[in-house]
Amino acid sequence: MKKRKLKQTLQYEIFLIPAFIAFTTFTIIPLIKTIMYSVTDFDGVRHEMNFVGLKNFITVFQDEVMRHSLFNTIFYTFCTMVLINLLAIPLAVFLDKKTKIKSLERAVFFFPSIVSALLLGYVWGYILSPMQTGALNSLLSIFDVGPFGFTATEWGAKISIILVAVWTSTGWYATIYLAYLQAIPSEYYEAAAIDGASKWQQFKSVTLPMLAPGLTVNTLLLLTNGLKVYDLPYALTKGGPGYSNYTVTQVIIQRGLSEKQYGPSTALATIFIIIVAVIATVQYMTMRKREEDLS
Amino acid sequence: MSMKKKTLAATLAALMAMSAMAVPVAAEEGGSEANTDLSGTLTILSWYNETNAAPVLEAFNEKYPNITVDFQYSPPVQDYVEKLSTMLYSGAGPDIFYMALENREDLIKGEYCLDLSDEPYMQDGRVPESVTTTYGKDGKTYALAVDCWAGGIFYNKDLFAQAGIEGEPSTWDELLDACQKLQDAGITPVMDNCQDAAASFTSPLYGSEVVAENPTVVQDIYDGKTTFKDTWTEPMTMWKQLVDNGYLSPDMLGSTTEEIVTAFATGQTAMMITGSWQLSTIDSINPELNYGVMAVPGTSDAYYCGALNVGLCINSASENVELAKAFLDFAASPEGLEAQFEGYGGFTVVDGYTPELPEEIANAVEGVKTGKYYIPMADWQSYTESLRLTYVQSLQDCMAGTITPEEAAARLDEKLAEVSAE
Repeated sequence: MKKRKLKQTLQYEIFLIPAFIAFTTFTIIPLIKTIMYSVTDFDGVRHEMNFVGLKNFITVFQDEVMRHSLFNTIFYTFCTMVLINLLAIPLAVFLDKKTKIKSLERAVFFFPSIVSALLLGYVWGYILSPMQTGALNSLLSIFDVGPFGFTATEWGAKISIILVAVWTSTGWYATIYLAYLQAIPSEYYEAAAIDGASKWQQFKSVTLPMLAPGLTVNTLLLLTNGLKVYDLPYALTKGGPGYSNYTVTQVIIQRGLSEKQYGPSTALATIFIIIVAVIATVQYMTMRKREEDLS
Repeated sequence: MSMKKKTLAATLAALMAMSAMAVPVAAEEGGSEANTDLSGTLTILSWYNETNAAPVLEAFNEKYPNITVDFQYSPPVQDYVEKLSTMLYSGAGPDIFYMALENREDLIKGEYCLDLSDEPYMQDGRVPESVTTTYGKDGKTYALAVDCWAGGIFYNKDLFAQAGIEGEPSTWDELLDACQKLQDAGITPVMDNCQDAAASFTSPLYGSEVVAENPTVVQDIYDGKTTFKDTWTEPMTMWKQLVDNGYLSPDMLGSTTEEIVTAFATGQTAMMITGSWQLSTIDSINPELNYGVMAVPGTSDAYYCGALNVGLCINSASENVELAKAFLDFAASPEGLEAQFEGYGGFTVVDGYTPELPEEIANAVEGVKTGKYYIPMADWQSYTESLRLTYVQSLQDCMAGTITPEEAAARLDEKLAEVSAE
């Protein structure tokens, strides 16, 4: 009996093997190697390396660019997370309405999220160009305003990056909310209407609590995607001007691959993995608790 | 010595002289001794894209029809350096790749390149000594560079005339005066986005103001006898005058190089600083543009931007060394040099082919040939890429006004201290 049960379990477990191999090869092994390199003087050129203890971790905290990139990444993540959620929920409610051009409306808002962020970065680079010929400056010149160097200053570039990211991703996250909205039974709204609830009260007391699981999923996705962001800021400003808009991923790539400082680079990656793990865990536990409270 | 012995000695000397001459002759004939029956697949990671490399590959395939070239391209500089180093470290490097100033140290230190010192083109005097000094170490040469680039201030002669500027400014103060005249005439004097360490105002200024006085200044910095701060502050301060006087707008930091070139070609700005690789782009946008290229004037001398271009290397772990050597032999041959000039547009420095130079750039090329140019990466023999990135970022921050020229120069000292402590 026991033997048959074990055999049955193994039959199921066998389906995990491909995923297990892929996960180990592309995630676990690189992760272990990253942590390993972070305590060595590995330079990516010679195959030999020496143990240097925590020296690379001290370098990370002394390096202004690395510290600045940590701030930029967390700032970007926080701003996009808040703004996208604030816009995606009402957008999802709007897209849930039964109109004749429902499909077209959904397609229009979803479209920016299917284009590569790198490509969008270059397109927006042209739109926000400081030249008189830049798309936005050309438009403003009709009103005799500008030209402006939108991405030429640290904060101008920061705000531009965040706004483009919000424009790009809101439709995608709204689609997730839409799926959760469509799962809310219409009886809840009917009951609320019979009880005399206004549209706002229905939204506050029915829609929002029922969207709580969607909020958890979206926030987690925005958090993890935001923390590892690289392509959009790089395409739009190359991390500039100077290094004022470098993200952690960009610093890891530049320090490691370009400058051959794999030690400090992997030390920053290790610190960052820990930060991401802590933030994601706290966020998930908090949101789960909030979900339970709302339901 | 008897008459017979004298005759024998003379005959031997004549034969030796003839044999010594035989190699260049064979080379001039396009490497007629080459074994064109070679076959196999040769992998190349190119610095130049498919369009630019096409004339070279076609000419090579014509000569070696049985060799298939597996061509890969990665855009320079950073992407190329990163991709190549990853490939080489993992043992998946191509047979042939390019050495640049930015990856020279790593490639030589990692012993990834075959020593080319004994190859015929290195031995017969076709390749200039500058190739050996730039891409060699300890008497060995690891890359075959066949051409150079030249650059400087590209200026619109018609806009200069419109603003009443006669001739090229020959001192820094005259350049500032010219900028003022252009601005007074309602013309944007200069555009630059400070994204290129090779073609920048500060590099030639460093050449004319500092290196001309002390040619070993960079070695002195590495030896701790002086600092970047002490030597770079002056040229950076001079350049910053362009920004402080409103001739160069910090808004340009948000622009792309393509936009600046288009603006120059369409007469939206009177000057920009760049290299010879933009000649064809300018020509394609506005073939009628009346422009020239001048050196960046310093207080008493004027230097151009320029350097040897990247050089071809053979992977020391290559299994197709014979094919790779055939490719480099071809690259150093007259037809190879011509194809590379046609495709890449660099100015040939290897004997065997003399390109016809565009009129606009002729002075700059002459300036580079006579040593009136400066590129810091050629001097930064160690930690080149770290210093280059810091240099560009510091110039951008300085242009944005977040740091002073002195702080920008000091950042190079901080970077050197950081990376040399690793």
